[in-house]
Amino acid sequence: MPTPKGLDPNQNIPLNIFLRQEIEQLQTVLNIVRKTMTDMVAAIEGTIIMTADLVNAINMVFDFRVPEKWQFQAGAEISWLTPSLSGWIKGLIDRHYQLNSWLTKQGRPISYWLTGFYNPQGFLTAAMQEVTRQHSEQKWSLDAVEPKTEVQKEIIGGEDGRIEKTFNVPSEGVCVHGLYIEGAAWSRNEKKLEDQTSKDPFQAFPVIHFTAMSTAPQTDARPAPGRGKAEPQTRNFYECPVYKYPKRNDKYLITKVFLRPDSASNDKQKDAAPPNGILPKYNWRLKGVALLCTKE
Amino acid sequence: MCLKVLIKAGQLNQADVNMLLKSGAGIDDRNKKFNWMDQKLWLNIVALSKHKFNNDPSGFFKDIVDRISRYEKDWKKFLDENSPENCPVPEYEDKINGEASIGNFLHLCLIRSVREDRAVLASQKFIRKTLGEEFMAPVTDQITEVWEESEPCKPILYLLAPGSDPTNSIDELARKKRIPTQKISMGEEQEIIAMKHIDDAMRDGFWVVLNNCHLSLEFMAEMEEILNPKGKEIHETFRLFITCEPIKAFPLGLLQMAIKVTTEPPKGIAAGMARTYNTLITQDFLEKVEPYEKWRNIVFAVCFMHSIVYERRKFGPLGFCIPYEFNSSDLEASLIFCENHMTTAFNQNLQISFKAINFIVCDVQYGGRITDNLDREMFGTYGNLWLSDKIFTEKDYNFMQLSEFPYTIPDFPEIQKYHEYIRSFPEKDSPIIFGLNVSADLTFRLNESQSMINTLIDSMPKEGGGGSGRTKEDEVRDKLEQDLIR
Repeated sequence: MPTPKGLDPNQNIPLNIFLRQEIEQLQTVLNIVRKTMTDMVAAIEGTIIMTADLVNAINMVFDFRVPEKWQFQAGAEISWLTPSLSGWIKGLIDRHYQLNSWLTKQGRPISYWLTGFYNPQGFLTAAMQEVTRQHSEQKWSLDAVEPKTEVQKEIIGGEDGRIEKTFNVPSEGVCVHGLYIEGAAWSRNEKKLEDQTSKDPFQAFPVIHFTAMSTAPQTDARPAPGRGKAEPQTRNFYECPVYKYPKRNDKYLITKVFLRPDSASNDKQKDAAPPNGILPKYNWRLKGVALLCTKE
Repeated sequence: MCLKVLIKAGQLNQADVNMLLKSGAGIDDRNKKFNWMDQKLWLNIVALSKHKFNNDPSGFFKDIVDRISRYEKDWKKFLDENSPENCPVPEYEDKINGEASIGNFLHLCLIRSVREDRAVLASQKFIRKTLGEEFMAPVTDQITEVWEESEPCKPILYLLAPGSDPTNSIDELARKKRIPTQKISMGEEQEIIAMKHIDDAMRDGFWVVLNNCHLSLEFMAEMEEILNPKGKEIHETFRLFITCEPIKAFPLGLLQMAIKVTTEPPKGIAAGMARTYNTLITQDFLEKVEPYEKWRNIVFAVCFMHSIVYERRKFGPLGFCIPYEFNSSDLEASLIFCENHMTTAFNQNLQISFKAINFIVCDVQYGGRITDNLDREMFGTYGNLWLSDKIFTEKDYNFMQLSEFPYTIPDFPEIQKYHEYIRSFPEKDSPIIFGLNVSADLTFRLNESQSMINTLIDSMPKEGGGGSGRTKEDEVRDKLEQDLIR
């Protein structure tokens, strides 16, 4: 695999390590699925003994639901949660597609389908680590960086890992897609949050560029890129959580993205009272706005 | 239930019911024809078009895809309708009405497939049309009716829902019937006392109320024998009331012999506020702390916030990440703190510190239950908004200016006026008052529908595809083999 600019090819490349972990995880799941399926057929034909697990799996397949063994192992989630079997199988194919094309095609994907990762937090951390290394000259260190996000204009539609568009990729950091916004809408032209009008509770969200910025106090006169200009900008922004599933909880929280609320487009306006007397930041918090990796 | 009736009548078969429940969950079709359509919706429509209702070989909705593409506008409008279940279906309206026997069912299937969020409402309509109105009316058992049905050895079992308490209504009935009642809260070592009271009551014809019996299941297991004593007369007015949280380990025998009553706390902000102002808040309470005017405002604001956060849970993850069990003791404790704080402030001539009130109410009292950081932040937002000195300085402070109904802080010296004001609250709460988007209702309905469908799937017998005589094993094997070959 080609080494991204500014990284030492002799060192392990963080995102490549991540890719290997993801592939291993998917392989584990595939093995389990294959075993359950052959066992189910054999048990129905009477070749092997029907166990409680198999009966359970057969009932689940009959109901078009996902057998428990495919999703959990000793209570821990090993794959992805969808209510329907077709959604799960589709997820399997799409995940395989994304990892496979990342592994076999020359160069990295221009944008990553965040939904398709088993460990999206790990992905973002790996990406941050890469950016940190690319700035090793400026003495960035991993424990003194924090995520920096910027919403792009492009929307990569389709609920899978396939990308048909191309656009310019920033040289640092990664682009991610596959997110939906719940509780609000996103204005692509003005890049800000706005009230939701459509009947669909979820709206596809544009690509997000995800990179890192140093939080260490600057010693040299030259300000590091990303630092300085980002700080005042995000002060009044809504800190929007990103969750893996619509069922939100700590475990599924991936990261947070700063989104521009409607009336804080510039600093002069920020003290003006919004129409309903609520500060924009609070307004979106009360609306429960969040980004989700999947609608189900 | 209703579906079963129709199956028996030969109007439907199991496959049709499966169609309704599973819809597009079992197929995969990537050739979506309409860009505006969601993948899931598309799959549901494909499933609908393939299904042969009532073994009708042609398939009722077989050309639905064509029809949608021909009249896209009409369909889009139909799908965007606020209540599509009450609107005529484009193209199919006459055809559905033409099917006398299963027309209603077809309509239900269509709604479930294209607008899952309305499935509950559509099925209510379906039941009303096929079985009759009386099956839809909520069952409201007045305690008197329950009592008439009970017998000395037939206890009345209340299954408690959070926030509900049947004790008051039992008390009231007991007063009317002039029967002394003994109340025991179950727990450690309480069995002996309970036993004694039951013995006495059986002899003298009193009532006994055993509260929170989930804490003393072993005793419950003996209850069956206690209520059927050998060689002992039970006074005919003896009654036993048991309140218990729904719990799996409850003894089956007792469960079967008891009259089971479930209680549900009234829903909605108006009901919640009314309950608070009927039980917790009294006229004396409103005159407890000086200056009265400010005290009343704070009380109202805290109570209002309590109702809001309590009701917000119904929106699922959009409301709170985790459904916390807020209850009236949180409210009580918060009010006690406010009372103390204001008394101190008044006596020492200090300013009331909303910072302190906010911290105690949002972070300590309610916040103590909240385990998710973002939920805490959200809760703090309510606190910042509503527990501020604005509720003193602004006359008729409005909780949410965007809301159609003005929820304000009124100021009345008498509690009756508060009752009247609360009664004027709208019956249905708009999501706006929670600070949520209007479409939050949609999310809420969708959750409701999905849980209904899942319950139905669970309660369905696992039968094969009707008429054709295939077993579920065959079906699963076919599916598996298809998958494996692929």
